Amino acid sequence: MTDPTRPLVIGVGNRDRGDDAIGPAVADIVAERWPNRVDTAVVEGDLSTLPLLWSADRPVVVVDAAVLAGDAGTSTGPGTVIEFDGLGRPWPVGNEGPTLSTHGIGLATAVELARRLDRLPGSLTVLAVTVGDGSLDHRAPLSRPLEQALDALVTRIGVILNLSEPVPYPGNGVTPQGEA
Amino acid sequence: MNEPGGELDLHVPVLARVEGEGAMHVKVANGEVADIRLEIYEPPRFFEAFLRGRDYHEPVDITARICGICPAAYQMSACHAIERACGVSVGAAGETGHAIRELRRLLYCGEWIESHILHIGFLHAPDFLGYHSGIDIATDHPEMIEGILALKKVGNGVMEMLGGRPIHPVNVRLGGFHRTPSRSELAALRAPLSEVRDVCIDLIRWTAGFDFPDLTQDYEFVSLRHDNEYPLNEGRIVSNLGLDIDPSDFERYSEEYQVSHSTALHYRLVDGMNEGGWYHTGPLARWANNFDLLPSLVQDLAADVGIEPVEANPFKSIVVRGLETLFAIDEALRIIDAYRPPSRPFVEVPAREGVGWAATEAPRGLLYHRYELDEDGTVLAARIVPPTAQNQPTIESDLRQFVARHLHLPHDELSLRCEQTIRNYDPCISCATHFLTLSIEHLDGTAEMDGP
Repeated sequence: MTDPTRPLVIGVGNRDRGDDAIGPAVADIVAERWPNRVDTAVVEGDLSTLPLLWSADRPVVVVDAAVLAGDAGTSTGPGTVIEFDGLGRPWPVGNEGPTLSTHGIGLATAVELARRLDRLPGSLTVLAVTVGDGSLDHRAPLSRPLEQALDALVTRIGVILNLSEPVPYPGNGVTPQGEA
Repeated sequence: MNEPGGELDLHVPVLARVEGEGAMHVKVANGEVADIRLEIYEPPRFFEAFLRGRDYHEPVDITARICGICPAAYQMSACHAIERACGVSVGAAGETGHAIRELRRLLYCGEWIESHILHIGFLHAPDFLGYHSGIDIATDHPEMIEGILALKKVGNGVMEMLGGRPIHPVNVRLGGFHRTPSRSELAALRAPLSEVRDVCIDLIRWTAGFDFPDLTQDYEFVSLRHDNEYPLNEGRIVSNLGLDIDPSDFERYSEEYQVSHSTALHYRLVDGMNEGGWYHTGPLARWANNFDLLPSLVQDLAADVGIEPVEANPFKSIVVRGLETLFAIDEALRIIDAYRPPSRPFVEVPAREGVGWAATEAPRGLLYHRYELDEDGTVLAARIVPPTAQNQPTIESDLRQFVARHLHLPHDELSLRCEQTIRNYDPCISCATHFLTLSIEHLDGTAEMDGP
């Protein structure tokens, strides 16, 4: 059993749906880079069980693909990382926008459920990564902009979770900027 | 309060806490129910049409996409129907076939747990407790929601182990699975399943204490029945009023029809016992037709919490779903303990020309598939009859009865109770939407029709 106080990185998304795989891809790299120092989880669609992974002593980072609504959606390019505090204010439950299924539970509901159950994590940082039009096709790889965002996302997670003494990134042998 | 003998117009334009898009309209005139409509306006989805011309291996994955909460049911009905068309009975294929048959039951147990628990905790319980959602329940009953999440997690785990993913499994194929688990992999599910047994029993007792509105009807309960096991994947289609047919006869004994207010086809029994042939499928039907096949522990608990062997109050379906969840947990444990990995993960299903039929028990009820194949295994025709399409006339009948008996309720409360009446069936509207036959009436008086 893992240490319930160990930092947790949750990648939300479907590995087989193009840019929706950004969360799982980040979780995979984090697991390789900081083995035994951080827990990772990949969750597809139904986030109802997230509160069971959380505890008051545990810092959590959630990485998910995002589509921005309105003008922001047209002015923000794919691969843009939007970071915000997931505990700062109540989430607008019921206004989550389209979900995989009305039988599924999204991040907003999961957070508000955890709030009622006194299961909020010590901190919750959400890294939402914008995706482009038509980039969620079956079996498609990550698009170039999101692939290029991977290193920055992992580096940022290291800073957020104070994961010192990083193991060099095994994918390309390059030590991420700011962590030498 | 509504005036006796007055008029009433209840309209809920978007039903909440159901899967898919539907509405309800109730009209009362002169103190009597004049019109009841469960309106399904979700667009048709054309699944039967685009299965045509596909290779016979493909429906297993394509039909899984019909529903996000019961994909395994679609996969199981597709597998059994196509295997029957090809003359293959997996369960009869020696030790390998037996192991695969058991794993299919286990997959179905995982889906029942996932689906039933979500409906009990987040979709239906709020109705009985006067809450807007499951989140609100968590404020006053955190221990129950914690238990519901734990049960849901276990159901997800079973689905993930066998299906590769908790939603839309990708590991199912004709003849079995792409990969079967080792004994130790499957044994890893044992502890979490065992840990939630008592949680499930607490949940059953909790829901049994709800205040159930008074509504019973003389339902014709239609479900599968197997000789010696509570039905999931196999059995004859039976009813408590004498229907007893092979799934291949389903289309001879049932009739599809359309109503103008729904994009979903409706179904009735040709010689059904109720006027209009409407019938009830789902947990209450399985329960009524197979009570004797349940473990005594489940039977005894049912008696203890006031559930009859033939339970005719649809509001009590929330308790029956809990009892079926307990059955699914124990059945899963039985399968895990007896599991011996098959020598191969699937049995061969060679293509041949033919027609195959199957019905399995989706969480919401009977799910019928028929496929016609050519000699190369190309799908020539497909027919899919989901449970919610079958239950629509019954839901409308329940609404009619309920409104007639509860006209004294204030408008808002009556409206909420009507929604609750619909949610008794855990309707999956997205599954039920179906391509309607297109009728074109020409100005010269001739007519043409087309449809799947």
